[in-house]
Parts: sequence; C-alpha cells; structure tokens
Amino acid sequence: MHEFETHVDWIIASLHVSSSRKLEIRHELLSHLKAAYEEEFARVSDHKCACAMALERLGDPAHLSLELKIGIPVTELIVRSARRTLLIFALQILVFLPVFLILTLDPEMNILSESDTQNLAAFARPFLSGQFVIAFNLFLIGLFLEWIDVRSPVVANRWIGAGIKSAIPFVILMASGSLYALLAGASAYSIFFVSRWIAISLLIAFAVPFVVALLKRETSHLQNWQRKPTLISE
Amino acid sequence: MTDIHGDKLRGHLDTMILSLLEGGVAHGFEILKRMEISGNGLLHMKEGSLYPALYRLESAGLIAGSWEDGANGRRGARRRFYRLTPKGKRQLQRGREEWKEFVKVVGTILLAPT
Repeated sequence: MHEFETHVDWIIASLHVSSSRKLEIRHELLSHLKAAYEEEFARVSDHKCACAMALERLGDPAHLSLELKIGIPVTELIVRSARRTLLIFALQILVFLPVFLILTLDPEMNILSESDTQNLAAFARPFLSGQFVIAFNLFLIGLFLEWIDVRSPVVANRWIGAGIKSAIPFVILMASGSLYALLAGASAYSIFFVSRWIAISLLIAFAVPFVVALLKRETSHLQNWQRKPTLISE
Repeated sequence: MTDIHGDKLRGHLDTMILSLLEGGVAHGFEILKRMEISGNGLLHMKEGSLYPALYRLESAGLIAGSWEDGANGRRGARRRFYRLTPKGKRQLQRGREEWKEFVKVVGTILLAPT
C-alpha cells in the first residue's frame, strides 16, 4: 500500500545505516502495517479508516525514527562511515590522478622545471598524503556528525547543535594539518607555504567531497520536508 | 484492573520480549499478539516501539532473526521471525530474578503499613 510505503520511507530516511539494513527495516515495518491493516479492516470494513488505524497503532513516525536511530550500534556507524570513506578515497584518486599527471607531465603545464620523473616524485607523495588525510577527515567528520545527531542531548537545541557541527570540521582540519605534514615529509608549518598548485588541488580535493556531502544532507532534508505533511497521520 | 501504558512498560520491554519468545519462534506482530493475550489486553504500547527493542536484542545476541521464505519483491513486506538464543535464555533467567527482587523490595516499601 502506497500510504504505508511513504510512511515507512519517512521513518527510515534519516537512519545512519546501510541501504540494505534500511531495506530490511522497511520490509519488517511494512509487514507489520499490513498485518495491522488486515486486522483493522476485518473490524471496520473501511479501507481509509483501517489505514489510519494501522498507522496510529504503529505510533508517531518521528518518535519511532528516533528510537531506531538510538538503537544503531556505534560499530555499525563506524563500519558504514569507513566504507563510505574508502569509496570517497578511491573516487578522489580516480578523479584527481589525471589532473596531477597533466599538471606534472604536460610541457605546457609543467609546474616545476625538473624532469618528468622528478616532477612525479615531487607530487606523488603530497598528493597521496593529502588525499589520505582528506579521506580520514571525512571519515571522522561523518562519523561524529552521525553520532551526535542522536546521542548528544546538547544537539536538542538546534543552534548549539549547528554550532558544534560547524566547529568540528575546523578542529579536525587543524589537527590533520600536522598529520599531513608528517606524511608528506614537510615540517609542521611549511604546509601553509606549499606550492600554489598543490594548495589549489588540495582545496579542490577538499571541496568536492565536502560539497557532495553537504548537498546530500540538504537533499535528504528537503525530501523530508516535502514528504512530512502527507506522512504524519493526524 | 487498570490499563498499563507504554511509559510504565519501558525498562521491562526487553525482558518481556525474551519471555514471550520462550514460547517459540515469532515475528514482530505475533509477539505483540502474545503480549496482548498474556497481559489480558491491559498492556498498551505503540506497536512501532517493539522493533527498536527487537533490533537491540538481536544486536546483543539475545535473539536471532531469520526472514520468512518466499520473495515478495525487493520493496515489499516480509516478516522476520525471531527466536531466543542460549544467551537470551540466560539473560531471561537473570531478568526474572531481578524482577522478583524488584517486586520484593518495592512491595515492601509500598505495602508497608503506615
């Protein structure tokens, strides 16, 4: 039944679990609603009324969604975040490797006045280190945002919550600067004076996945806002 | 007798589910039916609250779930059957002991003559 599907989809939309897990929860809740509907329909013989009663029996969708969120084990959050990070890391490498090869090997674009091999060697280490640090940052940010989404009572206040969420990326970014410097072989302070090409590339590498993550969140929220009025049974 | 609503059931739900599953394998809806029968229709909770508890128990290894046979389509409804695990049986035993202790202690206080 479409009413039930929309209702259940709204409940599971904001859960930080894998798609397959969401699908399992969806199956089970739909099965429950179907059984409740059949029971109510046998009693009242009215489709609309039976639907409303079945939804009423299931309870407030927002409350159920929150209960399900709280029940997600931290290990599941970590595994999901790690999987997503690996995917982002692979995509970053895939997308930016050609850019770096062009930058270093193309005579027109040749940034350093050294040989191709020296150019590659000079760029490979900071490139891979940078990508790794970015992926690791995203892993931490994603994990922490999901974790505080339901577990911190402070986040109940949306302004404080938004403040914390905004501050976390900066804190992690600052901390990871040292890690990057360590991996790339630069001194802790020279990271701020790297070649402008590396800086620009790193900036792009940071921006793309971050904007994607932001857009994804935004889209998900927009979908929720669009759906919500038709979902909650009054 | 007075009806017992969700808030009063909270905290006892996990042990109650374990106890109801002692009677055999059941899916979520059936567990609620068993609860209704065992509680003589006096227990009232929002049915959705059962599922977070089931997932919690499953994740703790106290119950084990398996999907019903037969495909109802990737997006359709499928029932998941739960059974009590040996660890769940031990936990149930502990839960019963704790409950007896709780009733004994609280009963002593509540029923004490003034």
